Amino acid sequence: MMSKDKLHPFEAYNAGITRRAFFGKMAKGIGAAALGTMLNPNLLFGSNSGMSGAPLANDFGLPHFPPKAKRIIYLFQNGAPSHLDLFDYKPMLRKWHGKQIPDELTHGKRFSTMIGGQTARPVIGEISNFAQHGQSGAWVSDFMPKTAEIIDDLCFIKSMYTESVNHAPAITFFLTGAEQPGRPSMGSWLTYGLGSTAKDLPDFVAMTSRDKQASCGQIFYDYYWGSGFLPSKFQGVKFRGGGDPVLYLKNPEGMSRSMRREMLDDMQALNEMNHREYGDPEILTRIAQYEMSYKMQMSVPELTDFSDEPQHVLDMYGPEVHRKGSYAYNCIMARRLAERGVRFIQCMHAGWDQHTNLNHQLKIQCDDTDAPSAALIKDLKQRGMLEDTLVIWGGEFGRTPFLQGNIKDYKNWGRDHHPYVFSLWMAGAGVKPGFTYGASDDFGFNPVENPVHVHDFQATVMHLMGIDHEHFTFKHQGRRYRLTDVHGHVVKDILS
Amino acid sequence: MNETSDFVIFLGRFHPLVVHLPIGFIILAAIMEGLSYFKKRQFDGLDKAIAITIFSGAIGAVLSVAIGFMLSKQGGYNDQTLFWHQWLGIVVGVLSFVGWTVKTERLKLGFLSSKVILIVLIILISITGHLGGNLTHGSDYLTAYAPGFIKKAFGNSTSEVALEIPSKPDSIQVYKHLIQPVLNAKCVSCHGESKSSGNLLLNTQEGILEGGDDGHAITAGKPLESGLFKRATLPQSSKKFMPPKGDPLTYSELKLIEWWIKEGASFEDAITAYDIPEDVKQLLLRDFDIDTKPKPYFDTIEVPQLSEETLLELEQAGWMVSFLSDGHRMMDAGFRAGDLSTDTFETLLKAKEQITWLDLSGNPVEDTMLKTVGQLTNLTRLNLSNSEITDAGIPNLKALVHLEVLNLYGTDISDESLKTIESLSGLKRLYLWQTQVTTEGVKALKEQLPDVEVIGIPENSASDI
Repeated sequence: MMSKDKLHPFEAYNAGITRRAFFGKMAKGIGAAALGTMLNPNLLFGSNSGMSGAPLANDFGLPHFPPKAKRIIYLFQNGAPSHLDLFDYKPMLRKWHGKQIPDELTHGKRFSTMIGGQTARPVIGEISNFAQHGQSGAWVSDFMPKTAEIIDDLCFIKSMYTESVNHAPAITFFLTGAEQPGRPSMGSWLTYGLGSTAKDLPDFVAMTSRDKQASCGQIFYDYYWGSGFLPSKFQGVKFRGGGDPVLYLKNPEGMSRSMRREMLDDMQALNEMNHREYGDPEILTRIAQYEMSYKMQMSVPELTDFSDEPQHVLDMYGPEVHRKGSYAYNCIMARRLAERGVRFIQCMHAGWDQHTNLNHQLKIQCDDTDAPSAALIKDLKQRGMLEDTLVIWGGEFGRTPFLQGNIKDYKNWGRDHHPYVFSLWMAGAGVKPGFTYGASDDFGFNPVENPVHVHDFQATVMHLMGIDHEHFTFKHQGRRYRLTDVHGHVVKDILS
Repeated sequence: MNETSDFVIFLGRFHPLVVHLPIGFIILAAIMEGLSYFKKRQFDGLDKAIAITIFSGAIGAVLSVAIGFMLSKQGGYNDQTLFWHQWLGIVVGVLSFVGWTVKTERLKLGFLSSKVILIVLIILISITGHLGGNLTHGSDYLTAYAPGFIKKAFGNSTSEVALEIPSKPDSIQVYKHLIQPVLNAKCVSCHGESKSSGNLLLNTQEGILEGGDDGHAITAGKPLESGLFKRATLPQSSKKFMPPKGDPLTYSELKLIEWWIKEGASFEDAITAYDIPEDVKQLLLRDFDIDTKPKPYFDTIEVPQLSEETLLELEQAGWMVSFLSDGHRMMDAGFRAGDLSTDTFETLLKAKEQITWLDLSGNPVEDTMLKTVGQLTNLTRLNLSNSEITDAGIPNLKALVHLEVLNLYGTDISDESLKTIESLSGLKRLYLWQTQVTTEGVKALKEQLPDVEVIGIPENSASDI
């Protein structure tokens, strides 16, 4: 049980000020007792970054148990890749090809408004060809030849299901545990709870990429890596997809690094004065962010300089590896960030929303992402980093076994949103390699074995990081919140 | 006991039915006696009726005593309770006759009026009835579901506090923590202190070993020859099915009893003493939250807690240390920044037993520094990737027999080092990408450590293809 109930630092600060004391303080300046805590941001932020010299388990009592994973790379596939054409092989689909999907399955189910008026819902067979791979014998589509090579390192969940039928709410649900924006994202929860491990980089980094033709109308909302009601210090730092990943890496002409340092020191003193007066934790965030920017002026140029990468490693990630803002570039960056101790790396790739272009776009997306995803796993593995890095690949939902569009209009075939069952994979720390958990029915429509809800998935991820999801809460607006709300069961069967 | 014919017991079983006759008659007699005493005018002339009622009660009491005696032949009752129940019953019978003679004025006992006798009878019937109830239902029948304050008054407030199951599998005893609670919940009310049906006691080890009228309760190693398991798994319609009333044993309870008997029905063994079949493992996890998966080495050893000062010293030397988890004493260590020297490594020895994960990747670690690392004998993970170590340093690691993961990628080591690594018997994964190690070297290593997974060296050398 987490005994130390965490208030928002601002609330905690306010709670300590009675009306009388408040006026007293206004008159006298500042109480000496308050000063002590104010000057040491760690006391408020619960970070065990070592800044205070106190090295140990943080004041949340986290982790609850020895973690399997120290860091996470989340390869989020925005738009929802079709489980039926990639990993969840259903021979029944081709047998039923062109026939109306049984009403028993679709009756009363919600899909997107795009097929609201469409009464003909013929099943369409998978557009790719499946084969079994590796010792685990998992079925993989021929659109994913490189993923097939690493199949024995992957742990599939083929019985995922979610609540929402639309992209933004479903993505928000996956990443924050709620469909409405406003909750902290998974990376924020973890960096807030577990503290810092990166020396001179942010602990939570987000990177985005999109398909080259921009065929998919996906928007990356900032709250996908937002900190919600947690102090904003814990939001993901988004690296830009072109130019320098963060702005103002270089000091303007005439500003030396030592001059910058002195300027920051003076500004910090001013900020601290302000903080003593108002107690707003966002001032501490600002101080921390100036410091982080200063460090990143040194660390980021080194981070993005791939000249130390052997050619054969770069080749694994494919031809796009040098193009900033590509999925391949983000994948190798993810590895480099992980090597430097970054705890949560969220790579989001938009391009999987094949409503009307399944027959050509799906293959293109696979071509762009298959090799980099597989290369990342191989690369982490040969460096021994899969020991304590968890990699997750998956979208926000699946796609329908039946057609969106007209079956004669082959060019514009599509599949609609399908939250009722879909697949994702994990690899690395703490999950069984070469393992498949759960199953969908013969149409790939509903789970028939060991269904896994998004909250179960989140509980499992927390578990792998050494956290009991039920006992890691944050009090906000009068109630305790957690990533999994009031749900979620750890999927113990996939743990190695 | 065996001579008692079934017919006698058949009749005997009418005892609980018949006993209520005298009880009813005596109470009715007492009511009438009371009415004619307190409301004389209204209820005059009941004396004859009272006499008849008492007489009927007396006949009923004698009948009850007789068939009660037959029932007692069935056996399995607490001797002491039975003794008192029997003799008080006889006294009730006799006293009822005395009451009748007094009422009909065949006998004059001066102070002993029929009123006094009826009061005494009612008291006696209450006591006898209660004892009888205890005999059939067990002595805690009345109080088992009573509110706490009543239980307290009867001195058995500590009703079955659930037994705490220890967290360490090697302190979980199969009998004490898994089997005994089942017997207590489902068997002991009839086969225990208050009642020993079939002369079988399941509340003590001696009782279980001794067995009952039907023979052995337990035949070690043979569940289906053990009465306990056999009768609990009969079809529920069988008259031999146990328990005859209340909830039958659940699947997992039976499964655990079967497993316990199969493994020899020891009263002391911990669950770790046996090979646990997969299905039993799943039940233990599901129903008792007992995780029988082999625990990592760092969870199995006891080490002293490091003091704050030592931690601070390590920090100041440039080490980044943290406990594996809240309250855990084993530690995860890495090097933060600054100059690595032999002295820096010396400080590590202050946490010699505690450090189990050590990450030195990318640091200028030299061969001589590995001397210190080799003394951290509780290491389970060691990462020396991209450091400056060579074959000359590796022999220092010989003592690290608990090492499970060794990462040497990006170093200059060659097949030479594998000779030391061969002796690391606990090794599970070895990372050798970008080293001088050859496919042949790995083959030789695999002969010594067949289970170790080597990552980063092709399985077939170019010459093999």
